[in-house]
Amino acid sequence: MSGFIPVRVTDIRQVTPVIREVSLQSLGSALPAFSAGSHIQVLLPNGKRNAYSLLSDPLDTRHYRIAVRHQDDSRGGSRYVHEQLQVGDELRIAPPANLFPLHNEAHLHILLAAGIGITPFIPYCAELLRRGAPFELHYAYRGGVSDAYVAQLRELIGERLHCYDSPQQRLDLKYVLSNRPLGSHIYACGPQRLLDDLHQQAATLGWSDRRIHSEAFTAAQSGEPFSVQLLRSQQQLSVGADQSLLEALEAAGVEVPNLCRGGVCGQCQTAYLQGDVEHRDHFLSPEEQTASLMPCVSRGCGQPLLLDL
Amino acid sequence: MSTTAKQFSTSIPRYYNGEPNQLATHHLLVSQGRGCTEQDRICASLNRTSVPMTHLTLTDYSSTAELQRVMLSTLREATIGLRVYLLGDEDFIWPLHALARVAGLQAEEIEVIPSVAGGHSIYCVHCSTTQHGALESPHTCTECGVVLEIRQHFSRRLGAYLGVCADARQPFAQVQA
Repeated sequence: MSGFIPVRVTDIRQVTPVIREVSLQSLGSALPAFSAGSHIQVLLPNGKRNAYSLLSDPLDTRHYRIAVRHQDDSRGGSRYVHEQLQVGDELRIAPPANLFPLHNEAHLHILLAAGIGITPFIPYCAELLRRGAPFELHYAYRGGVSDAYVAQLRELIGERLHCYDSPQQRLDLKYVLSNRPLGSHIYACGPQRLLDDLHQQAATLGWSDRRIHSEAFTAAQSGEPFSVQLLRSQQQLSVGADQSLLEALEAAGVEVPNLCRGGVCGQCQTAYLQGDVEHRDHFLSPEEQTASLMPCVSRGCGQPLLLDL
Repeated sequence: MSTTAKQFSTSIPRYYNGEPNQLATHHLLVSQGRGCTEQDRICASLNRTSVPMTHLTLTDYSSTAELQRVMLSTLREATIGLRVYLLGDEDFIWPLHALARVAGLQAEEIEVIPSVAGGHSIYCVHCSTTQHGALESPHTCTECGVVLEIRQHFSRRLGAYLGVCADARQPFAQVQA
């Protein structure tokens, strides 16, 4: 992976009362091209480092755009973007990576978004229109709160957009999944509860897992402070309540490979030799969790941690 | 990876274990008919499940091409939830497998059941012909005469095991005495 890219904030737009869109332009050479579904990591001046889906058109690399929802339980990343980030600020980002790509064998692409989960589907729509591929987008939101980009999407994809303004209109997963032709694939982005419901409903209708592609809202959650010892680099670190173990390691100069920073991609898997772990990832099997942890989301608890780093 | 899970080779076909798919909402069995000793047992096990079963068999059609046409039109009308079971020799089932994939089925939604008596298809990477034979090396290509090593690699797309030149210094037919 190449290094971080210095960028400048060129525009900030309040899309809904809780969603802000941020445009970024490179300070150096051109931004790398990306594929629909990609995300970038944004390194904020307050030390927080979060992954956000790119929502610009993949063919337009003059700038990147991301959208950030204000989280009431923010550990500082989303709050910083909403309260402090200004046009003209300079940041660093990690180059795009894609953990949620389009499936090339699909004959029909069914996209399912809840709230801010719409972001990866904006480049999806641009790409699918370009390919002339059959698709439809089902979008559940709260009108006037999290209904970002509805008008823009309506104009872009017309009646392929199906909106569910909750709680008045409910997204009926059974209806969306029933009587679909054999080449259908479904892509979902939203809270874990939606993804769990989707998998369960799909299984009862005979969908095999390979047809279901999903990306959860994944970010570290706060917890109790804890301490960790590093075996090889002979360091002792304290991890704050609003800090992730990965962030604490990075602050101490220990780089661990990572992509999603939300416990799903598996890149930051790290061995631990002692201690009690509160596992919060969606990647490791229970067996693997006896010897490894994902420092992007998981935390120490009880006996102090000893990491093989 | 550090896991100790049993590793399956994915380069040779994995055949049906005899358990009808639990997620299925509809089964489609396509069989070659003659010589399929397994047919009655598989029909019975699919019929015991609570979902409908459709059975197409070659003996009801004038040719394999006709059967393939009927299968494809059945798949075009089908919806997700269908599981397909293909029963016959390798020459019969793998073209149907390719057809089912084109129709939008995922590989894990298709079960293949080779009839015991059937031989194997071998694809010569030198002259691009497919021939029948035993999985034994060396194998002299019946068309171009190159001596082949039959690799433990089955192409699902071609429906055949790949045969490559056994001796890199002899990538052409043996001189006949």
